[in-house]
Amino acid sequence: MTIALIFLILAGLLLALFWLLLGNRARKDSVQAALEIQRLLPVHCNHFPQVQHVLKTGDQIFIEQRLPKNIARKWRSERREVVQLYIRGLRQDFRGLEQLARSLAALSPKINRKQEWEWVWLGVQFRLLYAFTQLQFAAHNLPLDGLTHLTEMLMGLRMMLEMTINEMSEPFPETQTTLAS
Amino acid sequence: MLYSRLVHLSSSALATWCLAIFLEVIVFVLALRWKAAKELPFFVAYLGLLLVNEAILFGTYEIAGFYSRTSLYVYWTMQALCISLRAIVVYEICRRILSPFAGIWRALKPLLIGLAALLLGLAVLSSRGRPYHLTNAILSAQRGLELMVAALLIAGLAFCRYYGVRPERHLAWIALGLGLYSIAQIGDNLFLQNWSGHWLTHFAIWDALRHYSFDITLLMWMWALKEPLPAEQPAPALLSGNEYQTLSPVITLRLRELNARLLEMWK
Repeated sequence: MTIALIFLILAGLLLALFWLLLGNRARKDSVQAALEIQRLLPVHCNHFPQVQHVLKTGDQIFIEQRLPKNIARKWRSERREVVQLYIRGLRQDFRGLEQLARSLAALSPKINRKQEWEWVWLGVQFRLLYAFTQLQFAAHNLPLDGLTHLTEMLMGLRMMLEMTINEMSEPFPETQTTLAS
Repeated sequence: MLYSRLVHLSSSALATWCLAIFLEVIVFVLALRWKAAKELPFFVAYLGLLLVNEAILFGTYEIAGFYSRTSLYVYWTMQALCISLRAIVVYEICRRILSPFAGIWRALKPLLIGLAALLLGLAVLSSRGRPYHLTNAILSAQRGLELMVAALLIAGLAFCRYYGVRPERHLAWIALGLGLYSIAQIGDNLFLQNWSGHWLTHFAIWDALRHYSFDITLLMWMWALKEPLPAEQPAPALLSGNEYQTLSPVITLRLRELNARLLEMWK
């Protein structure tokens, strides 16, 4: 038992090493590429009005009253698919922000260690919460209010970041090109 | 006459030793040819030390005999030197990859040094707990040092990955070789100390790994040095510093809120 455990740990360490060094070499996440601001700012939250429309309970009642059961079921399933895609998009938005934060740290001459640890911790929290949210969704129980708040917050963040970056870029022409590319 | 004292070694052990020396010479010559000392002075020093180590061991076995106490002390002293220099090489690689990113490197350097110091302390404590068994004490110390090398490397590379800093090809292969060898040594050491004679130690793959891990490492380094080292890249243009101060609180606040909202949804 002990031998197996040690063997597993050592194999895990080796795999971690291979993954850290050679894994996913093709992904475009170098520091410079990451500063393509448009790619990193939240975008999926812009589609919330459409998703909100999809989720309206009025539509559901109307369709269930007027259409045959099998078509209504198909409609519900497609509706869930849309919401599912939207939630995944929100995760992508979070990752973009996270990457922006990391790239900002990588290109800064001085960083705050406490701040960095907080970002790590927030990332861990988000991943856990996202997993729970997915579970809740799988259990057919996703409150629309929650989704609204989440989206509003991401849209607010996008605007605020854009404004801050625009303000900052003006006195630093050499960084402006990098940040805006 | 020349191999009179090495007669105790089996022919396969002698062949393995000769192969390792042959590969060490090739890697060292490649490192000199591509002037790797400019970029990685400690790594080239380590390659040089490996050859010196072989010469010293050969001389000691010839003079004092393979199973003498002198040979034992010389062997483990050289091992300690090699592992220590390997730890410095790992630090050198981390510095080489991360130092162009001044902010990250300044924040991470104390962490890496602290981690190394902690593991070194643990290695000393672990070997001191076995003062009456010399072999056990040496094996514990070696395991601790190898663990320090592996942990330092994995921690440094994890930070690189986190910040999206990609090591250059040759650095990646050198690091991989260092890590592979240290991990194989930890495993070998554990088995030797606790389960020598266990069926697993006779398992073909494991046996090959423990005997040839160093040769595999040398092959990885040959691969790393198979072509001229790339010209030094200009350091990335850093931001002024105001950006981090201004943007980071905004991002933090929003990330926190995002988590709070998700939590609300889950309740």
